[in-house]
Amino acid sequence: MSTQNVISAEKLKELQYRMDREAKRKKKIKSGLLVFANIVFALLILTPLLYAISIAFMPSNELFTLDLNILPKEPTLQNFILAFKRIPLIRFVVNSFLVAGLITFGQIISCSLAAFSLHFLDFKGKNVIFMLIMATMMLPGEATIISNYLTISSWGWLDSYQALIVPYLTSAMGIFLFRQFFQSFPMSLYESAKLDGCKNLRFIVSILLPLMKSAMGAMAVYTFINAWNMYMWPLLVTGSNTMRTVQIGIGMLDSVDSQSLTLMVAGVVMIIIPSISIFIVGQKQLIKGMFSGAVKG
Amino acid sequence: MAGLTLRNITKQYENGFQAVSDFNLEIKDKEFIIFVGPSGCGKSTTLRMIAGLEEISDGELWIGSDLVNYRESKDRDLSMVFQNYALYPNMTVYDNIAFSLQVRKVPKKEIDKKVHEAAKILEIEHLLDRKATDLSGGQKQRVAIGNAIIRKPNALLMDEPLSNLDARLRAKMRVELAQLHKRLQTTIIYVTHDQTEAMTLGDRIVVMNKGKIQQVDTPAMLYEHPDNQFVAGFIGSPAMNFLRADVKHNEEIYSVTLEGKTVSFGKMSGYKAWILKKKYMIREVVMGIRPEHIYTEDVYEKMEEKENLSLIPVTIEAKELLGAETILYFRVEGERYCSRAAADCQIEAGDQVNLAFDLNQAHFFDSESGINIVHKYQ
Repeated sequence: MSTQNVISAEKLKELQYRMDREAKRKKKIKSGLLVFANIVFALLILTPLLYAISIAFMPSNELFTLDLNILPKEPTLQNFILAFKRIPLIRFVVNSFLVAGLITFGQIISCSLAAFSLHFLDFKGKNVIFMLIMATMMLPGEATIISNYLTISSWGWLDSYQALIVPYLTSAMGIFLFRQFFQSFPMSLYESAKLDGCKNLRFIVSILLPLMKSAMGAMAVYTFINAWNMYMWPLLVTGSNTMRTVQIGIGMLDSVDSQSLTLMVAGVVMIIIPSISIFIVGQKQLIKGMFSGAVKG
Repeated sequence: MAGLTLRNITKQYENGFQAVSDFNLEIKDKEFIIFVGPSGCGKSTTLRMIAGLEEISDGELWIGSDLVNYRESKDRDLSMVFQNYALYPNMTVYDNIAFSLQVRKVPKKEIDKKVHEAAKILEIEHLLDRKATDLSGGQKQRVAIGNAIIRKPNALLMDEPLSNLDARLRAKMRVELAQLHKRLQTTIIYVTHDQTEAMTLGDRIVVMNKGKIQQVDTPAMLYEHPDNQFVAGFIGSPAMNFLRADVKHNEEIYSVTLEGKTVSFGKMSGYKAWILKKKYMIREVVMGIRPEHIYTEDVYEKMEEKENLSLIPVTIEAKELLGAETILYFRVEGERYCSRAAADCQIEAGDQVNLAFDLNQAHFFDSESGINIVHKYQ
């Protein structure tokens, strides 16, 4: 053996140290690049939102200049104060919360019960009924809006909470989502409960519901945001300030005579806070629930 | 506790497929009965019909003196152990066991007493506060059994309860199940595709195939006197060897021609020989012979009675050492057969050897219907 091939213990140690450092550096560069790419994309997507927040704090004379004004030079809360003065924003927010909350609650109850019977119970025409429900998803909401309006108005429900809530108490999407989740639920648990003497309602309350918290969370977030963002229907059926939801209310900030962009943006910034915060709280559940049944494991 | 009677039970699906047809069985009180058969033979369907989880298309199901066809599962007073345990993951072990009593609004004190009693029998008292999901497979199975036995049902139904356990645990649980049955004195209906479980656990075994009962008998009777070729081939491991054979008459000696070679029966007396002579002369039969009845030459040498043994030269194709015994595989005219030999057997794969077929121990089946000739002409 030649002496050149023999490495002393010190040299070996140094070599190890060097290689280790090299590997760590490579790892750092890799994760650094990843973070950088993420920041770039995040900025790209968030820029309009961040700019809107910035505008909300600008006096309106700053917005209408030829200079590039990204950040307000003299930040002011005037826009927010004005927005509150111009329209009953608090009432609108309360209305929206009430409507979206009740719709969410109602959909969870009705959709889970419907999905339960469609999955666990055995009856003739089960699949046909499910397909019919699914088929309604292909109908755009706008197509039914006139007949719904006529029905509601003939009941004298116009400009009331029930007009805003009742038509949305169930949804095909919700039934589909729940049924999808139930599909991954072991049938033998239901059968075992049946043999144990458990009735269907008891099974739902004490076994099924506790085990599908994530599906319920996903449903809740999804439904709440949808209900919060409703525009067309509330615009049609509400007429008074006491019933309007926040999305319609924001439209009231725009007037032909004295249009103020900064004022409108301040209003918008305020009303997206609830929906964004709900999403942040529930995003994990939302993603978990959306994919339940779709992917195994 | 009660016996069960199944009379002409049939299950037919809407597409016309008959999963179970004309199932007749009397299950005695406190009996440990096993439904066994290959997958898709209708054994689970039958069990589910008994449990009320499947509708009975035709026939009568009696529990004791009650006709229960149209009674809901929860009113049949049966309990069931599922293959995947079916424990409620959101509950503790205690609640899992107690659930059926809680549903029936039994007083808490009584539930508590019964849960501890059941847990003691199953040796899971230390697990009562744990979540069901934190347990190992064997522990889960015990909890499932605990849930099933706590309300002392009419009968305990078990659907392949040991299939999800590993081999060692399965053997252990098998012994415990047998002890449990003795202790509980309850009727158990047990479905399995594993014939070892069937043979070791059952008072009686129901062998099923293609939705029909093939034979109902004690394990020993099934093994020694199979009704037909299916039962003979299904019970026993390694499986029985089947050979096509022609029966010939030759100077008062009944001989069969095996694959072109005439093999003498010797002066075989007894019922089998008599039927062969009377009914099957110059006809083809299927001869079934278990691996343990095909001997190696050294065993043959030591035997005193050699009249009914015939040596056949074969080439060994493979050898499996199982520890306590050796399985030798060989081919005769394309068909693969096996023989069970001693562990210290020196024969290796590729060797040309003579193997002795013990025709006294052989079974003969009608080549058309597959029925055991002894049973056919009884």
